[in-house]
Amino acid sequence: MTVATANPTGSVGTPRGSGIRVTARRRIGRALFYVLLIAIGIILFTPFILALLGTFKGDAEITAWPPSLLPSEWLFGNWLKLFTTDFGGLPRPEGATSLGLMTGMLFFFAAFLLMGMSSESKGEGMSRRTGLTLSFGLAVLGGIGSGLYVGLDGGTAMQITVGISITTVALIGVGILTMSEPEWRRVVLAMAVALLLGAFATFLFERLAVLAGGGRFVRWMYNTALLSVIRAFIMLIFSSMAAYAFARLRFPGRKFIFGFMLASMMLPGAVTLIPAFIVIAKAQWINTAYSLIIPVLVNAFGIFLLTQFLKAIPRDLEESAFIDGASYFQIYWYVILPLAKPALLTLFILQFQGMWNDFLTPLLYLNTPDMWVLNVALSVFQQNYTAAWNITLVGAMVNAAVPLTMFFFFSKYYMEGVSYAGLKG
Amino acid sequence: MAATTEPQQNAGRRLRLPRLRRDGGRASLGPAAKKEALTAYFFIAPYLLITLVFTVGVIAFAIYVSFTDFNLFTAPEWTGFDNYTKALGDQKFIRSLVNVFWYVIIVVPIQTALALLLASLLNVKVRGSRFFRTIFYAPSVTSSVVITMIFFWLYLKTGFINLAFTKLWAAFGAEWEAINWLNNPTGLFQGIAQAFGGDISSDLWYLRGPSVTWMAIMFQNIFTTAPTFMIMFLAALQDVPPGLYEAASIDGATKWQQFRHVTVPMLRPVILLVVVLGTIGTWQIFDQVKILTAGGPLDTTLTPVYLIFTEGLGTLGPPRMGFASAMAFLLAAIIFVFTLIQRRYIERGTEMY
Repeated sequence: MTVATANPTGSVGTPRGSGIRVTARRRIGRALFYVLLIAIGIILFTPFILALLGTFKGDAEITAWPPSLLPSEWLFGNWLKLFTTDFGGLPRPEGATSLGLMTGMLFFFAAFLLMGMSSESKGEGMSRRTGLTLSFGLAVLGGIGSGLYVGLDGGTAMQITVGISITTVALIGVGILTMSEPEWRRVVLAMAVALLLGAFATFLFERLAVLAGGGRFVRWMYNTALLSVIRAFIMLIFSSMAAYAFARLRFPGRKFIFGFMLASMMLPGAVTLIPAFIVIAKAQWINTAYSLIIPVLVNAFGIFLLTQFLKAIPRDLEESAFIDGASYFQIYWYVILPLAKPALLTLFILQFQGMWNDFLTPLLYLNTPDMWVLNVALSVFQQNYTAAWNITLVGAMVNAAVPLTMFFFFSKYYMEGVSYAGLKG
Repeated sequence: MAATTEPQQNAGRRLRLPRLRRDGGRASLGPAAKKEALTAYFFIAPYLLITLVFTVGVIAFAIYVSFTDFNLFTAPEWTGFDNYTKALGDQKFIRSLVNVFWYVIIVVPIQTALALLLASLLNVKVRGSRFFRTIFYAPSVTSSVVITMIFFWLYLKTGFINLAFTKLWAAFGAEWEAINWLNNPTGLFQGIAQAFGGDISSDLWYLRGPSVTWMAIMFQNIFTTAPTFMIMFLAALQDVPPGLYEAASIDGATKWQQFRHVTVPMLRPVILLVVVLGTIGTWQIFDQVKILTAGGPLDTTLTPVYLIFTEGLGTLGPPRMGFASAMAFLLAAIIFVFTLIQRRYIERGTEMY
């Protein structure tokens, strides 16, 4: 998919023209071609350039007729104003808690996987029964603990659903490790350390959210960045696990489940909009980070993309690892994940961008200024302060800067991601 | 894309090594296979759980809700097909469908053609085409809210779009009267009729065609989605074997003929994909409408998803979850039929070659 393999289809660039006249004509043609490309590039960027120049204009000048290209006076202070203004709204504790708890969950998983993966050398340490009971107990304890923690501010329904979902996910982790016949002392240790780390992250990120304030631009950036990163990472962990199973393991129902997954990708999002809202409202997750993260913990497109990628890489490495006695989990962690790095990075970028640019879902679920993401905040801000177009445009530019910066660093992965998306059909 | 499909098929058939565990041959194939299956279920458990609740469960629930009267606070009340008949007789819903129909049949062909054109330009082997590819695609990575916000400002009565028209008209010695792009319900055909001194009455609203505001939103959408699809075409173009072009040019085909008879047939699967994805996306347009017009002026930019959103949340009265779900299913059915027709039509074309 590199440009080097491009073939000449357009009007210029016929290979190996000979003779002076031909070269001269080609040179002119090429110059005109570049002019065309530059012109298209400028046209595509015009809205952004105009908006960027607009951010430095004064309150009256921004909507004055006729609009001028350059500001008469460069007001760089507009950019500062966006960050220093308090747009109103106090931080609600449960919003901050949900952000913290979702971060904690990410830390818990990362720590658990990192420590648990090397737990395979049999016959030493704790007995199977004691170890299994202890790690089960710890997983349940973690779930109950986070349920109670949420319950300090939230309602009973939220308390129960959060407790159950975190317990379930932790138990799945224990189950996976159990399958690799682990040394139990290590699993219990990993579990305990992961729980502590998760609790610490929960508390830390919750405090940070409270510190960032309610209706402030800093808080909106914090919300958006945190949600995007957590969502992309958790999705990456679970999608890659499922993709490994679909690509490499044999189990009854594999074809059916995979086929079902493909079919579910064609479903228009509008169909699940209202019923998903009802479910989330009943769980009392409205206005929390759970509403945006839990329904998309795993995503069909991500699994599909990674499965296709894994199927295309040879099995030799895994087979030799298998002969050496590695467990499925170790193969997944040490062999599959490193091999799938380019696809994982592509998926991470797509998911990050997906959350950062999402508007409908956050608009549906988040309704107080302390929980808004940038997109929602921007649209509300524009409605409430119709005169302050310059400040709105500053907000739009800051919002656009993050995906644009990411894009210029990782453009190769974006291109691959979009063409992978082509496999979807 | 073609390169990745071949190994996949082989991978599935490939012989697996016998399960040799480190504890000698103690475990026979039976328990090993069982263990493999059990491990696999653990690995896909998160996906299964989330899907069972948030896809299967939610859709089953939606089907139930669509047959009831439900406002989120009291128990659902069974009403049969009432919601569906109400939706099909609802002036606003029909109106939104007609609006989006215009939107789809105008935006999808133009953005597909534009994307293909841009991709063909970038596929030319010149130095720096990679750079231009990045530049062309860059605006598409920003959120639709940002772009809509900027266009909102550009479309103001005192904005740059009116300035551009003023300059353009002045070049021909005419005078452009600045218009309010986002609040102009005049339909396309209505405007043409008015130019000839006639008009189309509001009873015949469906003959008025897309309003000026709606066309402004279309323009914005084409502007931002064409580069996304351009990348898909570009990836596919680079998979076209160069030999085909050589053969065609030896046979004396012009560049246009090569494009028409080599490029387009080779790209048919991707064209289908782009058209289908574009159709599914445009039928569900929401962000721009929510930010720019809230469905106005005179409902000329109302869309089904916007209606579903407002009815479900109850921004215009008590929430009507059942009614909103029924509309969602009707919309899904229409999208399904639409993509089916496209698939038939474009795939039939493939057989010709």
